[in-house]
Amino acid sequence: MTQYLIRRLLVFIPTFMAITLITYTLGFYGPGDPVRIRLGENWHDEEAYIALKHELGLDRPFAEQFFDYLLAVVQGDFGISIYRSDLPVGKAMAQTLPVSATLALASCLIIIFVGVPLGLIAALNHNTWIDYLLVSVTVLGSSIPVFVLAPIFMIVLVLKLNLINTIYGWEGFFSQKIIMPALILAFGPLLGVMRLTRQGVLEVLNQDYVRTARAKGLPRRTVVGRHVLRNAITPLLTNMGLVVAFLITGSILLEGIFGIPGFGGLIVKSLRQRDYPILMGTTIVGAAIIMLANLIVDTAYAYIDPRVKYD
Amino acid sequence: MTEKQDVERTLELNRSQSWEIEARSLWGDAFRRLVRSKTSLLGLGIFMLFVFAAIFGLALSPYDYLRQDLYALEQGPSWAHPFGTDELGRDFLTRIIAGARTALFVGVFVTILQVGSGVLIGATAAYLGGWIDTLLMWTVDTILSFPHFLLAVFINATLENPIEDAMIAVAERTGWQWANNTVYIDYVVVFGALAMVGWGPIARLVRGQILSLRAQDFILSAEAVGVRTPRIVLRHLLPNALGPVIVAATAGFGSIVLAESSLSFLGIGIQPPGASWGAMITENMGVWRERPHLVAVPGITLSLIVFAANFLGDGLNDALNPRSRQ
Repeated sequence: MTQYLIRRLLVFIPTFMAITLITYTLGFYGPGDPVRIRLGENWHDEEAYIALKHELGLDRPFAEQFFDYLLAVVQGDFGISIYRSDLPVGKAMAQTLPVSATLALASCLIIIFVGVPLGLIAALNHNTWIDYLLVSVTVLGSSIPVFVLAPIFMIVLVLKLNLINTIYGWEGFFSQKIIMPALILAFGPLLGVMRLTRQGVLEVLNQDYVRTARAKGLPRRTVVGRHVLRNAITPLLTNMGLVVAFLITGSILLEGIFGIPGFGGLIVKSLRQRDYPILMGTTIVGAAIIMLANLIVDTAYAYIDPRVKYD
Repeated sequence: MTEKQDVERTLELNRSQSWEIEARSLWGDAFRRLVRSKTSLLGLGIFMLFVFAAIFGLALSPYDYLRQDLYALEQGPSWAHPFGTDELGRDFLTRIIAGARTALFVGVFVTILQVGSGVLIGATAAYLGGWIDTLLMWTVDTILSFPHFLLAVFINATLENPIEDAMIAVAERTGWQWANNTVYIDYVVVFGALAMVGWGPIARLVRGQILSLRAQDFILSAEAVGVRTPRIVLRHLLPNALGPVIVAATAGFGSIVLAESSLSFLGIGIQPPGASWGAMITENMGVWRERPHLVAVPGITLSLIVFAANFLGDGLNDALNPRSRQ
């Protein structure tokens, strides 16, 4: 187990370097000249241009600049925003990530506490109208993107049903304003979790040990809770990496609509201003979050499912 | 009955029989299995309608999707404008159809680019093996460890300037004015960003297919009796490897259309006045309370196409890989 962890961490390092290299290369050759942008209205002053380029260290070879960037990134320093010289990229991300994480946590709670029970209900009522209804909703619903769900939810919940009035803004976890974005963000993964739970429960229900548990007269609740559900939801873990990726994508598309000052909102804002240092930072951090999530999932798997052995 | 007629009838019979035999081929069988399933037939139907609207819709519409009618601003649905008009007085149904054209255009081009580079890279990795294989597959793994959409957004943002410069240079050198058109520049940027993000899974799939097929008996025996390599590749390898690739490409089509709309929704894909369903949602998000249909219609259309592509992909999977069915 320890050996496996060490090996995974050792693969983590070159992959992280490659991710940084890809991002840095794109950010280096792609956009316009950052020196000209920083010079502002003096952009045509050649002397100042050369001086500033030297000061920023941009006249050195590419490899040298890249390794400097990589070293700084490892220490948490992602450079400074192009347009606001008082705003380090790391600080901008540190301010916005907790907001998105809070939103993601709220969504995860909805995904688990709604998705798993619904999947269980569908499986226990296999081939009845309840099952068919839930499965059809999964099939139809999973192709609706977040930015289409948002207006549909807004039209239905605000205009037609008049349930929620204030939907814009951010006031933390314990406020009414989190309900709508968290629901929308949870919708897609919830359907996926429901489908996986249904599949898992259906498989486990046919196992010998479930029949044994039933035969020895255990109450239905104990059979389902102890013997079925526990074994059925292990496959869910494998897909947690996908859920995290979905939540990141969702936060990019959603936070702008609801005016939430989170990680995705930062990306969209920097996109509008073409603030490349921030975009590079967010891309690297986003990829690192996914890699970390996958690492945690793989490790957790071994603890939860004793059949999984890592050699 | 004369002898000539007799011969003709025999020929006719032969022809119809040979047609029968041809229909029992790989593709004939697959098609029959595809239309037998109701869900994939539904997917196919919606998809055909979408393709028809995208190709012929603008020619059939009495309006131009770019023409602004200042006497018909912000109208509700009516017989003249089934989906009303937007804030610039453009017929919204025609805008939706133009959005379909954009979606089809991007979907087809990016699929070709992704499948082309994926097949090339996957086949290279499988045939050359060794450190080239290791390097290529490690690159695939690295690209797949990015959140897919985040990388597409970043590449889209960084490609904008270089591609714009390159296309303006092309326009100046060759006199092709279309290259200097911002709408086409947007298209090329979106093509590039989505193709660069999505070739990985196809490459991995093709590599796996080729590696497993080459070890199979029918390829080994073909090699043993001395069939030449090009013939093996064309007659034996490709038809067998093609099924899974077609399935992956169809399923990928939906997510490409979705990604284009998502980029345009963020304002970095297809820019106004070009038509994209994602951009339409952004443009009309400000009036969702007053005219909710302006955000609902493009959203539902987009979801319907993605849904149809997924159904078609599932149906094709069952039709082309019958062994994969449980």
